[in-house]
Amino acid sequence: MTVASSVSAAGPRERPGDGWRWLRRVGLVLLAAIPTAALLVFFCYPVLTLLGRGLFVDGRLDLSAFGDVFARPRMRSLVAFTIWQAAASAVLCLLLGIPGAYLLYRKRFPGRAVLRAVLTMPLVLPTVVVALAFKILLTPGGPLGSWGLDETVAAILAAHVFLNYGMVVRTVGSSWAVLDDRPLAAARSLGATPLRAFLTVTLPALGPAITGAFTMVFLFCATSFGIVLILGAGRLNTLETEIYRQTQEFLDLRTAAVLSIAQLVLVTLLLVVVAALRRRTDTTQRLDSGVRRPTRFGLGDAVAAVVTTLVALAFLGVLGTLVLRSLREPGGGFGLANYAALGTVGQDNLMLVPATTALANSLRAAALAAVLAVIVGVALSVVLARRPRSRAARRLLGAVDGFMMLPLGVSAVTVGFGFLIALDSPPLDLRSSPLLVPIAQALVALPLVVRMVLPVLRGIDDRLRQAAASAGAPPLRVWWTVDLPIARRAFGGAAAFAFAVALGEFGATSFLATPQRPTLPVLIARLIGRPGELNTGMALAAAVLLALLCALVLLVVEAVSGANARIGGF
Amino acid sequence: MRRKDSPGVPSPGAGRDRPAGLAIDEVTVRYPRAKRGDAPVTAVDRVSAQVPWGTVLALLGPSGCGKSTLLRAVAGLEPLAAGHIYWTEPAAASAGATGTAGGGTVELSRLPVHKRGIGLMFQDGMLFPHRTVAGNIGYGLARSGRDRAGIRRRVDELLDVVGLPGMADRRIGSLSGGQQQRVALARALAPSPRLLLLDEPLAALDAALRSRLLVDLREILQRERATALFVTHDQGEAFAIADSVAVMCSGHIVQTGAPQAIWTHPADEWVARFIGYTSVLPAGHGVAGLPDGPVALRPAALSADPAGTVTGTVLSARPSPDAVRATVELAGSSGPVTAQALSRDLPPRGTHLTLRVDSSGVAALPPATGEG
Repeated sequence: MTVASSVSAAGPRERPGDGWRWLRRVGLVLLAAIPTAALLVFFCYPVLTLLGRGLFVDGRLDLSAFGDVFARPRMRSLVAFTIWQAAASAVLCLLLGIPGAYLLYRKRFPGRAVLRAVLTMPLVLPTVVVALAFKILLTPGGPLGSWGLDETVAAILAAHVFLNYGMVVRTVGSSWAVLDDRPLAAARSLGATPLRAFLTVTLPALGPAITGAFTMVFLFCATSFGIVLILGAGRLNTLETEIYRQTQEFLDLRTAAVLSIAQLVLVTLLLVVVAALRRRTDTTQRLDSGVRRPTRFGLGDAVAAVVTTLVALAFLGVLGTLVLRSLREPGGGFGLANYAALGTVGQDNLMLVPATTALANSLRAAALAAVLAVIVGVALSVVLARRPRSRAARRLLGAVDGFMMLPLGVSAVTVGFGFLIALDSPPLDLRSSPLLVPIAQALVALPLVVRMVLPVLRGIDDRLRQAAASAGAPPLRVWWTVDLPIARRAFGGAAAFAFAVALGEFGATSFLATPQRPTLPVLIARLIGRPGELNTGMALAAAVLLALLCALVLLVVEAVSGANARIGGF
Repeated sequence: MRRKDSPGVPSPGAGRDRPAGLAIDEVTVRYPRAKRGDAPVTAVDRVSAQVPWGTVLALLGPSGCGKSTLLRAVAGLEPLAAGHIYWTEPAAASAGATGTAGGGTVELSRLPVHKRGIGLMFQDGMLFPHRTVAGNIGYGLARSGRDRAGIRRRVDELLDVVGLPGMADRRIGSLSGGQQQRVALARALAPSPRLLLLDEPLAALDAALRSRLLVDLREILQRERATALFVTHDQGEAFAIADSVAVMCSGHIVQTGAPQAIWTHPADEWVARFIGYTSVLPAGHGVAGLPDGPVALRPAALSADPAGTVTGTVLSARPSPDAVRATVELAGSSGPVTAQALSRDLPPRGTHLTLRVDSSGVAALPPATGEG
């Protein structure tokens, strides 16, 4: 019956089906143009402008700044500290997180869902909130003040572990959950002890997930800003806080630019490694037979249970202290006075607007940022999920994939400051625009959105699309009826996660939020930095409120995209 | 109205009237090289084949021979490096639909997948997990001009055809493997495609289910008068379901014909062995009682019988479901040759057996083959 239309469609073209393939290619290029344009304008341009300010003197390239900066021993030890504290944080996270991944993703026991929620919740907590929680825990006179850990490296490491533990558990756990049992059984049947079987079979199989988790945690800790700024109290500095100090306090753009480049090099090196590892993951991933037999409770299980219980107790302790302290009233006793004070502008009229207004600002900006991040992130993921035939196109996609991770590693401070100096003249005069903060936040959330959406789109069996096409569905209908329904949950989860990230974003926002229009994290940081018991109380109340909001978002993500949502993971 | 753009040999008969059905014309499919320096892989090398309207052609071959690639090329899922794929409507249908003289021929290879009017069925169903059974079967009917009730009627009709009445609202996850394949078949048949492409549709099922579904599939294809390309590596399946069989080996079709013709006259030793001949005796084997020249033997060709004409010495023997299979050494004129034979009881090694020749298990091979 369709002969007539088919004959007319078969015009005299040179190659079979060329026209359609060409049309689709144009569509893909247009789709790719959205994220490319967004990144060029709002990432490359500001960052390059900032670097240019530092490196070009009177219009000529002047690299002497590198020599000047790194001749100072202080700067060299800064780089060393940035690297080793990030590595130490990542190793600690793995040591504590791998037993947790096992317990939470391989075992079934009552209360598992609650435990999972407790342990992965810090992942979405704003860094400012976490820093404040550790600050009041370790400060002299605090519950653990006698340990003498206030303003030490240990405090920073503990806060990093607290923040990133959930990432290890989720990344490693979701791989472990679908790991094929049978090679392990084979090893055991060949006489391997449980420990040897674990070390020689399970661990290598989890290798890509573990190295992936390590790199992500390393990346986050190497560019950690809020934690180091608040817990390091100016004495301990990473590249990120130093860039902030150089630009904000000393107005030394050249040094800041040199440090930004150093950080960029560090991050790029790491991303090259990640890309190489991910390429291996693609080929070595093996899936479960789907059958899971209950196993006996062994020694390994006991170790995992003890470690994880201790971690969970510590986490609850940190969060509990924060909540309890927020309820302690300035005059002694417990009550909601600190929360009531959120409607005020603080002791000694510290702020221009009350905290409630800052909260409204935060919600508005985060919602807009989530929408932007999802639009750009989904467009990018659709393009990246394709598996083109030609090797050149595959290479190009691989490069774009890696490039997309850059905003994750480039200091949020660099982005924020770059925005401030680059987007200040027409046609891009956004300095006073309320869009500036959401755009910066969307940029920070974008790589995380891609990491959540892309695996789902890639996981859709191409033959489903082919079945739809063979049943007469044109490309757009295939996307609408196959990809979208399957990935809808991931889109929802990514949107919620982007919202939480934007809500807690501090590094870039601290540059861009004006005093008249602060976000809640910026306001919290400002309150912490000032004396006055009421100001501290308000900061605590605001932090608890922010934490509750983020936890709520996490619950939504869990409910929408299921327990195996790959938040922030690979 | 068609332009010739084949880079190689001009496709014979490209401008002529074609018989109704599918014509694959000198089709080549190449995969790009995986690494720099690798040669591009030619998965299908200038293959031509015809599937007359209303018949089933089985593409039979071992894994990696290019049969699935050829099917995917017909579906439009692999770009052609060279060649053409044509579809010609049967005269009655085309006269009403197009009025084109000579029976409307379409060059499928110029159309994108969704305009080719095909039904595609994969090894493991590939049902849409987020749709019900009815949602899957009705997927291809969205553009058919039917209203909701019409689509539902067609879905129910097809559920009857594939033997799953009343399952329309079931979720895909609740179906067994066999049921999923039945739904996949129904989904492929629903829009009344001009051509059905079946890519090892039974391979993922267990043996008992496979043979049951095979019988059903054959009946359904016959009842629907479907034109179909059926890809399989199982010669039993191919011979049971197809009107003709094309045997593929490393990107080429090495023999095409009716199942019986291939069965009795395999083109060469490779085909003979692939379709189940277990022994091949070279030309000049000189075994008394067997035809001269290269011959291929199935185990049933030789069976222990005191009244037989051939003698052999047992090298080994093992029971199989219908009879004991023995490997025997036959005395040839230029030295001993080995062959398979059937026996009622288990003969010890070294036994001399007298064997009767059943000519239905013997196929003469063309003289050029049969070496080694």
